[in-house]
Amino acid sequence: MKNEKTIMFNATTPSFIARSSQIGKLMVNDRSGKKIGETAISELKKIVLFDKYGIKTDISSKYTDKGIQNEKIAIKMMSDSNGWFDVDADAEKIRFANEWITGEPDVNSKTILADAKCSFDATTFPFFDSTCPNKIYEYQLQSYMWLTGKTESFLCYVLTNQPEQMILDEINRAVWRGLANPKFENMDQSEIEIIMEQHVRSQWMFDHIPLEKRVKTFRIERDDEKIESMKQRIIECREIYNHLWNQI
Amino acid sequence: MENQNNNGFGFALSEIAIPQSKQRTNLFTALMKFQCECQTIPKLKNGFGYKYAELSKTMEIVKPLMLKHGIGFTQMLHGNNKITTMVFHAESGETIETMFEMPNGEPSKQMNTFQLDGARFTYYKRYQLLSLIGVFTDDDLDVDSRKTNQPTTETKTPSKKQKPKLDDQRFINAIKSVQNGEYSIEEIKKMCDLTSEQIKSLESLT
Repeated sequence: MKNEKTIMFNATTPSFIARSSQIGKLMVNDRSGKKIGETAISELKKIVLFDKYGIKTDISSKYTDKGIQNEKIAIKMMSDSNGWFDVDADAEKIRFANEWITGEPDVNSKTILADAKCSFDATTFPFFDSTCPNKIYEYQLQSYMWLTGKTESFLCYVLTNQPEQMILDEINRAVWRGLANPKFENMDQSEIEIIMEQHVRSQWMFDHIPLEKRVKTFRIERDDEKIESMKQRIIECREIYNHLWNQI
Repeated sequence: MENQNNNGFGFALSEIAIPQSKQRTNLFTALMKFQCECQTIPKLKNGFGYKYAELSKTMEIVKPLMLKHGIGFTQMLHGNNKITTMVFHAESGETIETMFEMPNGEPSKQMNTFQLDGARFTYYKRYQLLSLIGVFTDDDLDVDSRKTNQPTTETKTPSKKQKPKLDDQRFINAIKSVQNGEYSIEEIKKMCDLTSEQIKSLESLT
């Protein structure tokens, strides 16, 4: 197991340390495939805005809310589905850092390093994919292996039920939309409520799908070339970061 | 729809007709085990001027446990106003059942005749089933816990941390971890709730 200067988060930090969740976007190149791309620059601008003035540009959305609320359920589901015996969904997460990057994997037991991605609904769940469908997440997992010294990791997409409160909120919204829709003009509110509740629950609850089909696990091996390229990109980002910092 | 009886079930207990002649040892044993494991069903749904335990939510909680103990149920409508609920033990074929004659409701501005029928069928189906299988509903949850602790089977977490039992796949992975030197046999024994057979297989690795 390779362990490269892994230290805890409160170590002395240089000017810019990337987060594992950001690294995928920072790795995006321009069309030539050789230089840093616009997506990466935009990500850096967001980081500078936050670091300098505390301005958050990624405000929480229903997509992030689901992931946060269902994280433990997702870890339990992926552990059950994969037969992981030493993964505890209630275990406290540990933040790792080195000179370039910092990250907090969802699962880091002795045998398993993994990250959970809660698909918002069935349309965004990779039912049919056989290889990791998202390069950005792949870099995130590479960064965790870089930080922990592990040689394999797992990216797990999990199709959890929508939290009940979010279902109720959506039903309320759907009812109000229904009341304004001429298609439902001959129905009263209670009738629309029944229809909307059935509709929302059928789209946002997945208990009828077997557990093993609701967890899609992609094994990602450590790739030292990718880790080296991340290191080089962070060095490049530091210059741009400093430049952007001085601009505002 | 108001409850006409004071027993909280929405129908007179005398309506439960259980023939006394047949033996139902298997069914009653299974039912008893089911009752020990089944939690109180929270009343979380607001509607019709009161709170109630939604049928779909109720089913989410009771169905897996009924399945676990080999019990099932069926509910039949007879004509316009009679409803029968039968609980059965699948393996032995033993049954208990109850029949109830539902009172008629009055259509209103909020509900036409069909909606009213649907609502009262659902209402009595829920109460009849819960009564027959001996499960209670509760509305003592406070507002905050209602917001954060919805009664889905997924969100239920045990209050006391127990050692995990290992199914076949997990046990295979545990053995691999010993072979790879990630865990010692003693560590696995300490961490997990193993069967005597699993302990035996594990110890045979030395």
